Amino acid sequence: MNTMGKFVLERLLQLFLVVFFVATITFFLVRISPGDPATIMLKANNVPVSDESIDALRSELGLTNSVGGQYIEWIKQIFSGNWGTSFVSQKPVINELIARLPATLELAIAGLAIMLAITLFLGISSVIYQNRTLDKIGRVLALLGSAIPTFWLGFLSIYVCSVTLGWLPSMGRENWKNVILPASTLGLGLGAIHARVLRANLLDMLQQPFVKASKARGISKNRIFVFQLLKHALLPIVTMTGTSFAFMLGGSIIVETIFSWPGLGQYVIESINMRDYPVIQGYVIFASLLFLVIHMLVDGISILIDPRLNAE
Amino acid sequence: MLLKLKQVNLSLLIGMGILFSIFLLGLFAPWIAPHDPLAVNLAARLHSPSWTYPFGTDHLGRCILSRIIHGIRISATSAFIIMFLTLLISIPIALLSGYIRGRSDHMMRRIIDSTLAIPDIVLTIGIVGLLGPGLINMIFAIVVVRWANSVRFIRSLVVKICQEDYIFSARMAGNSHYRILIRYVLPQIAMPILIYSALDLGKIVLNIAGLSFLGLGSQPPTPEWGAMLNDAKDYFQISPYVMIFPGLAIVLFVSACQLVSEKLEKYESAVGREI
Repeated sequence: MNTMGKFVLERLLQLFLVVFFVATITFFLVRISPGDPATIMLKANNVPVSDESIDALRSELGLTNSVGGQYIEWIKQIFSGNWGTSFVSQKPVINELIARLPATLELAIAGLAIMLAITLFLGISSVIYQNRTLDKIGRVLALLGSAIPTFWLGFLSIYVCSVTLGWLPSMGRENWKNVILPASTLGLGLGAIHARVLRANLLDMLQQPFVKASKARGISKNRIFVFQLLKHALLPIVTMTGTSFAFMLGGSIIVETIFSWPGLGQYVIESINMRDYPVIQGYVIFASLLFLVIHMLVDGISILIDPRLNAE
Repeated sequence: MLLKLKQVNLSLLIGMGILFSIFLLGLFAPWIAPHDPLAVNLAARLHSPSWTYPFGTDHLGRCILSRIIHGIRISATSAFIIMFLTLLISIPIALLSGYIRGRSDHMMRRIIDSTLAIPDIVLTIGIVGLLGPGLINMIFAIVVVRWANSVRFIRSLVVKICQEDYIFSARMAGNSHYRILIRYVLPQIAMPILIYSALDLGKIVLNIAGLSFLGLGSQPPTPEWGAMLNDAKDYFQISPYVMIFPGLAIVLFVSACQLVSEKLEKYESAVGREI
């Protein structure tokens, strides 16, 4: 357990460093960006812009302090959980972000489920039917999966499934039907790519001595496949799922925009268009935190599955 | 063996041929494109493909084919600029970091790990979002995000090569560090970098298209593939051609990059084995 404690401590330190790093980047980006935050904030709230109102707001926001002072204040605020208030809604940024997290998580998990289903199906069947039609289809799909832009796939799926066939809704988040198209858009391509990785992994394992030994002991092929190979393939699948989760969170920005899905991604794009700086800054920090926490979980689970990893 | 090499060469030629034709099309766009890419013709909006408009027209009646051809200039040129800038930054850093090792290398790795710990699309969108949408800011953002990956890859190559015996002998023969890096290390890593960059070029094009699609890259009315798809957002349900052709252009370009990268790798390993 001692090693586990060390693992957690090390990761927490990394978390701290990355949040510090991201907070620093976002702070200086706002400094070098064109436009004065106070003016933007006044405009966003339809307050007439005058010299007095700008000056008043500037001192209220602490913009009159030195850059160094502002920076230290900003870092303090980030670590105490006060991420500023949105120019547009006047509510704390962190509350706004947390309010939209469930929708994004729902989309990401649904996308992950579709990805895993495709990965497992295509990966396993292309090993069983190696070099046959299904295997070749899998290869083509993987190539397409890495060449087709997510947003184009989204358009195509809307055109085919909602416009032409009228099967599925293409907008909003009302019931379970709404999640199918955006989640497939996120999961399809990655599923096909990962199926090839799983295939290579399984083929590699088929060459291992333990498979030969099992065969020699007269264990049936199916049994070997299900009880031994898949057990060994669990670790790469877990790692894959973890890294894909991060991909889903990133990809959700585009997919949420296409499908009008009310999550974090759509919110940040709206905020960029409104020049709502605190929200954009908060989003980058929030998403990085989320990403790191997921990676920590995945690494922890991997170590639980295969304790040898910790020794390395 | 020779037959296999021929097959590899053929695919490589096809991939390079596609890329080369795309660049020629972009270079001679004003002479090849049938219409002015910015000419608005409201009488002919959202037309299906016809002899006058081979790929149809968009919501303002602009010729989609002409816009795609002119779009090469923006999409491909910015992709090349990004690739070039990334290599310009990452090759020297990787060479020094991987050759000198020690404390500076350790620091560099910390910085790279921190950069890579942030999901790249989030960081890109954060940078463009805070600096303001536009082509230049987008290029800056993508370079900032991509350099770390590139340094990590090149550094691993350098570290591996610096453990070879001939580097030691070169050093013992009295070559300066600078000379070793330029004459002995750089030529060895040139080919892997080329393979990596070919694949990267495709990813960059996807990246640019994605950002322009979100309205963060090149601004209307500039013809750019991702921006065209952004325009198509509200109209493709009426006329699917506004999204089909720009999307196909992206897929073709990216697939060609992948093909070239994959076949170069095979060619390299096949030739290497023969020697």
